[in-house]
Amino acid sequence: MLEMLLAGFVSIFTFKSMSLITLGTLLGIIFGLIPGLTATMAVAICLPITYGMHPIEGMALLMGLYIGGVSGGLIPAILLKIPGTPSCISTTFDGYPMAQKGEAGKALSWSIIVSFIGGILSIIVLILIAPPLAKLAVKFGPYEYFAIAIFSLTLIASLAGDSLVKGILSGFFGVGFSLVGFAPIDAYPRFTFGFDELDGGFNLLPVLIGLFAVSEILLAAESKYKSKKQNHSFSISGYGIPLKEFFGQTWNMIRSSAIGIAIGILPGIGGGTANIIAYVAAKNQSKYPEKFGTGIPDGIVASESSNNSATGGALVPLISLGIPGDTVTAMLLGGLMLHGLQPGPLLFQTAGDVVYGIFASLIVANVVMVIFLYAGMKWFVKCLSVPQHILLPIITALCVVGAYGVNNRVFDVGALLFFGILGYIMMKFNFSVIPLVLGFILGPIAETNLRRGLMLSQGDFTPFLTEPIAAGFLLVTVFSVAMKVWKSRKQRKAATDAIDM
Amino acid sequence: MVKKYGDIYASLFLMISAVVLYISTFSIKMLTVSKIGSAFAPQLVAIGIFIFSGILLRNSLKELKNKDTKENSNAQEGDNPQINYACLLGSVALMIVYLLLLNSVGFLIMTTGYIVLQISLLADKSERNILKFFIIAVISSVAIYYIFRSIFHVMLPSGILG
Amino acid sequence: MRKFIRHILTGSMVLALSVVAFGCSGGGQETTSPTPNEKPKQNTTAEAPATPSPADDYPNKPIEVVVPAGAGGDTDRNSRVLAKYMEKELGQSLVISNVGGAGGTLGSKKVLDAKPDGYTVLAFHNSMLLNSILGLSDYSFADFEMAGIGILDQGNGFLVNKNSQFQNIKDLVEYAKQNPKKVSIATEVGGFTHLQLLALQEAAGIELNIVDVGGAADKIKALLGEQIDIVPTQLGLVTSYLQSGDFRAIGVLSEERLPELPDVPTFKEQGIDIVFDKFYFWAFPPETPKEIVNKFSQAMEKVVNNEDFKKEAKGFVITPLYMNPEKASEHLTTTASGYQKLYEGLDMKK
Repeated sequence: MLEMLLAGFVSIFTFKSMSLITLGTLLGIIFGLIPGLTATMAVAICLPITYGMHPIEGMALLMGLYIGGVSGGLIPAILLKIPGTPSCISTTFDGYPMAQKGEAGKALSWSIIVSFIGGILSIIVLILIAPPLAKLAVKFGPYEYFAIAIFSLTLIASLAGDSLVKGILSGFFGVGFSLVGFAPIDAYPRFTFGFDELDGGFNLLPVLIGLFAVSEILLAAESKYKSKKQNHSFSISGYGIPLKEFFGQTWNMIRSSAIGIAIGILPGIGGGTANIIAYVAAKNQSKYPEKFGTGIPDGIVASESSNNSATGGALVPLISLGIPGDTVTAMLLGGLMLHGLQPGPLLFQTAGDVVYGIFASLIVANVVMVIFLYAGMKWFVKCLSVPQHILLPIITALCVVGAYGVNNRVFDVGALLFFGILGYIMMKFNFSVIPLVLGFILGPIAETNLRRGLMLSQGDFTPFLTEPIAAGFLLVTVFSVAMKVWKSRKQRKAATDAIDM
Repeated sequence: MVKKYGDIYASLFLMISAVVLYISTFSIKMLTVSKIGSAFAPQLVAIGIFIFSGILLRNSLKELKNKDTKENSNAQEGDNPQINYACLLGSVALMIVYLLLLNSVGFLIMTTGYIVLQISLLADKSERNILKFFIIAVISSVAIYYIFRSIFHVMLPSGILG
Repeated sequence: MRKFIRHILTGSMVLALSVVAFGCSGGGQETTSPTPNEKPKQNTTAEAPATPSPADDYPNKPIEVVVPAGAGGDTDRNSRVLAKYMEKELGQSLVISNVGGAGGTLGSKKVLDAKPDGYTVLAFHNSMLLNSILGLSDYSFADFEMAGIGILDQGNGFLVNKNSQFQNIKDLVEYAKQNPKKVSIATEVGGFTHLQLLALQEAAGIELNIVDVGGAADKIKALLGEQIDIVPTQLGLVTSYLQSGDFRAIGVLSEERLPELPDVPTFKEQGIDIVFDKFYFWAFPPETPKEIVNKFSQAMEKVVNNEDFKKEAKGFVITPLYMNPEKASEHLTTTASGYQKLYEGLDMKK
């Protein structure tokens, strides 16, 4: 296998391939950077140009786009509190506060390094144990997916911030909004009020960008940034990371990458969910959970390593079985097919050189990503130190482009605006927006799989509870919820005791 | 004002909405045979919102009582930083107009207009330099428009320009 | 020194970006100047060299192809392959836009409402007929300007996992007769495959457990994981599985055995007389000028007869077949009434 990998490297060390990877990564980063534009879009746009190329070269370009696109999102997440892509949502939790503390450089450094590590780890897994992992992944059916969705939904409890009740309500909103449109399975139109545009429901992107970015603008508008000196002069100085701190995060990195890989492997769930789960896991297993959200490396490490490791994870089912792990890999599937390659069990035999070329490209792309992000740091920060009153409107315009680009409809821009206003209102009433996003993503997964599972079992609920993997997840869910309730009871008791004293 | 009674308003509003939501699910037809049809999830959500906003209501009423008995000992901590309603509502109105005319007038013109106006809204009086804003707006709109249309094939609405 | 490196990096980034940018423009020298197609005259004569026709400089910018399905499935793949060759014929890039969801109605609606200037076209198949029959949409193919049919897909068949007890359709029918609702079969409720299943149940007198599993890729995954007994799908999507032996095709819904897969018996020869073909058509928004539609259609014809295209199609187990706008509309109308009769004779609720 090592020879094949080396052969793979050799095959991409042509000037053309290397430039393609480089350019692809750069373009991907730019797409990830702009809120509303995603890696999926980048791949979709560049797919046709790869037709005229040799498959290995075409794949090299697409891998660059993939890695760049997933990584680029961390920049606005840290510097603006706006996730560039759904996979960077939890980077905003600690990345932004860190930047606010004047440690933007450090935050960026952490993200970049950890993204690289997560990516490389997932590639190693991909190369070594893709086939058996993929075989395991197909064992996950509707019962299992439902259990995972429920489990992930309960993580809302850990993200709710001050008010658990409000967090749960926010989660319900999210699920509620996800219900708009044609229902899964029977395609019955729900909550469309006769508007054809609503048939498809809301797309995650305008929802996400609206809630995070547009609401920021409204917040800026309301306070009108009285203090002119609000310009965040991000200091990049000292973006080195002390080795001791770095090694202190090793376990976090490994665990978060593992979570990312696992979630990436499961088709239908991707980086967007992975980073949130990894963050919550890190918080719950940490010795100082209360510090999460104030700008500690742990949060960034968890988020960024998991979202990049999800890329390798998503490629596992694609390459071994021809089943895409997320939206980008779905495009890649189309791309592979149009190059005459059939992803599936025989891909290694019929086009092994392409497969190893892909692996090699991924590794190179990760390296290129690191180089570009580091080199560009000063430039990014400079760009974003433009006064808020100029920066925010331009960002809005870009968000509009991103929203429009989802389906080439103005409706999505309307959705953007709607959710922006909603996000603003929610913030005013002290409701956290994150559970909404989580509910929105997970609601459909839960509902669809619940109904599919019932179709399979013909109305019988038992398999949901007895299928081993599903049961396992449900047990973990029940356990963690119980722990949480117990803990908060203890806390409240201690608080009231303290007051009574 | 929002801080004190905000939760109460919110929870009441939500409880009512939840009821409305639930009632609306009665019109959802069952197209499949399984017990759980398309009405299930919305009903579940409605019930959930109702229950939890109920809890929220109870909690906030309790807190309100506590606060009253403590007689607001702490001073109002510089209550709400004044909300600049003019700017806020102006921005919202601006966005709505932008949205409505986007398809008909086209991305280029509308975005230029939007950026100029939004910057002006957000900017401090001292920084107001309409010419500078206009130039920025034009350059960014044009750049975005052409890059995305020609290079990335994202067909932004051309409106009256084509 | 550092500053120097920074400058070099920025310079090369800008350069690199512009290179990629030109690359991504698909090699077409499109201008974004307004096209003179604002008020197309309704010329019904195909060629009228005397009067300038709206089709004269068509196309002069990229064309958006709306595919009402997700990326990676057979609709997407077939549209992309046709688009690949159309680009060469028309000299402009064809940009694929996946507008999936709601049974394909979102994508169809988008094209229905689009500007009839020839730069938006829908790439879809028989499911559109079903959409109107099932009430998912209040328009049908007749509302569009048909450009023609380019691909015939006869490769729809039933797959089982290699560990399955069924060797052919006979086994399946026998077992199902004795065990109603025990055999699970995957589909998308209300879609093309659903209709196939209902027809099968009717023709064979059996009752199967119909389960929604999702799209093409989801079905493959479910079959691999042995979560479902039978998966109806396009055989071209799974040729490597058939070769590796992981899957077995127990029947194909074509008139005769497919040349690409000669070992797979048809349903017909196994005693079940049902045949389902899928036609892939391309259609323009209503009121698109006929000259433009015809020009596009002629390009389609050339592509269908292109040797390279034929070769690629073979690999996907699809057949290049051209039908001009009139014939295509006729064919769709006949098929639609066939579906309507079938639907009325069945209880779709099951």
